[in-house]
Amino acid sequence: MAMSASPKTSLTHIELAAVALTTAAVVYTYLTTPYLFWPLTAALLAAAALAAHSPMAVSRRMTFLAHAQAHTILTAALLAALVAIPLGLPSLGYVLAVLLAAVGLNLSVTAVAKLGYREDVATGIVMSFQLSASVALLHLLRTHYAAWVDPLSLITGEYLFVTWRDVAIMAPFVAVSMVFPLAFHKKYLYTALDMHYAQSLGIRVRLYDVAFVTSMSTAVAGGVYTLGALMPSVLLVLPGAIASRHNLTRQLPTSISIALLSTSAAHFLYTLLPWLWPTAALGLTLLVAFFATKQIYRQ
Amino acid sequence: MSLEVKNLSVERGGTLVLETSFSANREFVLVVGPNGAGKTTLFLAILNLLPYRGEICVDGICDRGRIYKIGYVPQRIKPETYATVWEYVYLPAKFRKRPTDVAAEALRQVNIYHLRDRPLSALSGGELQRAAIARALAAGGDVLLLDEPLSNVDPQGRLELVNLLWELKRGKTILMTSHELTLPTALADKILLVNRRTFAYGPPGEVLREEVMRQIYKFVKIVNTPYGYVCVTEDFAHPH
Repeated sequence: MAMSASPKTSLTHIELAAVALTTAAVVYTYLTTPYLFWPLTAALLAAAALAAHSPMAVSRRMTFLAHAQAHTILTAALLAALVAIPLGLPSLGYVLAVLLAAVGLNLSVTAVAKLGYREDVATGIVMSFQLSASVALLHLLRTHYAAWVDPLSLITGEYLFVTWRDVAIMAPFVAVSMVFPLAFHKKYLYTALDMHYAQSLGIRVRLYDVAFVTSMSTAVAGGVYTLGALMPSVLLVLPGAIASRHNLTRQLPTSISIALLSTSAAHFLYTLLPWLWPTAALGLTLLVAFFATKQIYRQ
Repeated sequence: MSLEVKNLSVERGGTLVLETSFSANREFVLVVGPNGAGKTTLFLAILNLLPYRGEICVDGICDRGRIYKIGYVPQRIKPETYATVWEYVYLPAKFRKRPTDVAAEALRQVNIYHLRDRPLSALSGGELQRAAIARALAAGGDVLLLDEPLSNVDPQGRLELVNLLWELKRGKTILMTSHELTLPTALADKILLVNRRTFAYGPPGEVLREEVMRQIYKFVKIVNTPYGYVCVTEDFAHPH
């Protein structure tokens, strides 16, 4: 007898709305403001990749680590910029350097946790070192490389300057980062439900943790040029927090749908209010989505 | 469907916390002992979640592969997510590549099939225990480990669960820990009495004797009533 968990009606609405609004935004942008087509494409890809990790970060109680990504990314971006500039590396080198630094910093949280600290404390410890390093790196960048790199652009992202080349560079990162969520999200979410039980089923939880953190770092590296250092952490938390009100098996499509809806809405908002930076508009639309879906659930 | 535990010893933090040996084949074994006696430790060792010395085999499989033959009901069930009863029971079976039917069948067996679309957080304590038992059944346990399934359940629910376990025990090897002796003793073919390095194993009539129990608890008397064994403590026998 075949059966499946019955999804809630509102969930289907969210998915349909995401498809409709994303298509509308892409077509409208292509026809009316073609110079914004690649920035929008890049933002949609980055948002989908980050949101795919969001339910797992929320369920595995890694929201603190997800928020710490902002600091990780900033440190990683500064470090990467310092390495990329003297070596004259192209933007692919910059993204790769961000990836290496982000993976290293994220895995160091796991290493510190092995010293006997709780994961939130371990995250805090690594963040403390990161913040100190960020200050030192910011100063170094401003003093020696101010003419080449604007540290502020590392924070806000280079949305308007994204070209098809940047999309081509980020696409493999997005593709690779989607493998873990698509293949293992149900197992990993179940691990969050009951870790001991998952281990008794033969699921190697620690291995999954390392794979998840690496995948999350890859998604972050893929989106860092477009979204900047801060917004990826927002996309790693809010879509998953909204999706966590849904059935376990529907959390991934819901989270991605929320992210696509918000990114498309943010893009429209930016075209209406050009003084509002697109990634800031994204945060605003996610906030609206958070409260709107809460109302749907109350009904 | 046999479980064999030979010369098992488990250390935690350099201290020996459990030593025992026993075997069971299509029997219901009630594991009894005070808090900290090593009951849950025994289950974690059987599930290969703790390092141990000795040998643990299920149907002759003594390596990590044995865990795929075990269904497990943990002591604490946290219904804090929006997972539905169906997801809770079906997904572990799917992870073990078992057919979809087994989840529906397990839910029917424990009489909560009608609750399959409810979120776990909407279940009562007794229903939650039933869901956990259904999950263990669906995941394919010839050997079932039930860690205090009767705790956090009201007397009515407890009676219903014991009736359910009575039906399930046919043809399976079941190990169940409990603090309570009265109801579950009626189910038990064997009793494993443990307290860290001390243990006794055998049919209830052999193990639940005062001289044996005194090594584990400070009981004054054990009375075999029509409702099962009742242990009377010193405080109860000599009230101040």
